Amino acid sequence: MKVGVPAAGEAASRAAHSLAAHPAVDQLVIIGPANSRYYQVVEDPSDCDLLVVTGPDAPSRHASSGVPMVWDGPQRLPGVVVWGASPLGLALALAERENDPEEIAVAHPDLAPQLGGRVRFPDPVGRVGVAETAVGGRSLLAGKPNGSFAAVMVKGRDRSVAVVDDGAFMTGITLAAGVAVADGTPRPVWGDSLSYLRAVTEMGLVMAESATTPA
Amino acid sequence: MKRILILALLALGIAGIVMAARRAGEESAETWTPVQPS
Repeated sequence: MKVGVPAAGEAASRAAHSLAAHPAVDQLVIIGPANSRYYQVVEDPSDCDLLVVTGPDAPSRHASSGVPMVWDGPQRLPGVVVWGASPLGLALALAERENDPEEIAVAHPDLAPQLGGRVRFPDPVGRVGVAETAVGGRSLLAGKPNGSFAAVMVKGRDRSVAVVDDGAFMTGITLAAGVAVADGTPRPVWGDSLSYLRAVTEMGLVMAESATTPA
Repeated sequence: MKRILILALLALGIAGIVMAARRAGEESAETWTPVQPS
């Protein structure tokens, strides 16, 4: 599989590194104009099998290439075959694998600070002010933590599951891992949650469980 | 009357400390173990 990553800042750069090391990716190119010490830079993405794009206006900028896109945005748009490739999508993918998800929560430095309720995430994130938001028809709690770490957590009756890591690292991997869900059928990352979760853990995120429900 | 008020405030303070300690204890009891997606 040949994957193109349009040059678009740190998230794209981190996703490119994760993709280049993934066994499903045979070739990775950066879609320029750009300079890259590590990868070939091309102007025309039309011979790529997939584009991995980030940012609110990315689908409209790259739809004309006709190459299917993996995107970190929250909903399906023309040309996008996988959406939700983000920490919020990771939270919904985690929830899909749980029997009784009662609370889905995300703390990430890129989110807006919230003064509503507070959720206790695993250390070093700790307590974070959150507000309810809706993604993919599900309600989740999201907020901005102090510091650079991010956490995604799903609490159930019997166990909680979580992923904690550096926020920028998590952003890059959650974007890159969207390629594992791309099989031609348009869907969000939580539409094939097991493939997505396997890909994010193969790329370096660590999933953990706690048998006791946190306070 | 003043003594009762002082005792009530003292009791409230102690209750607050006990609640905070209990909550800290619950949080520190939380243990996370790495798992694979399944």
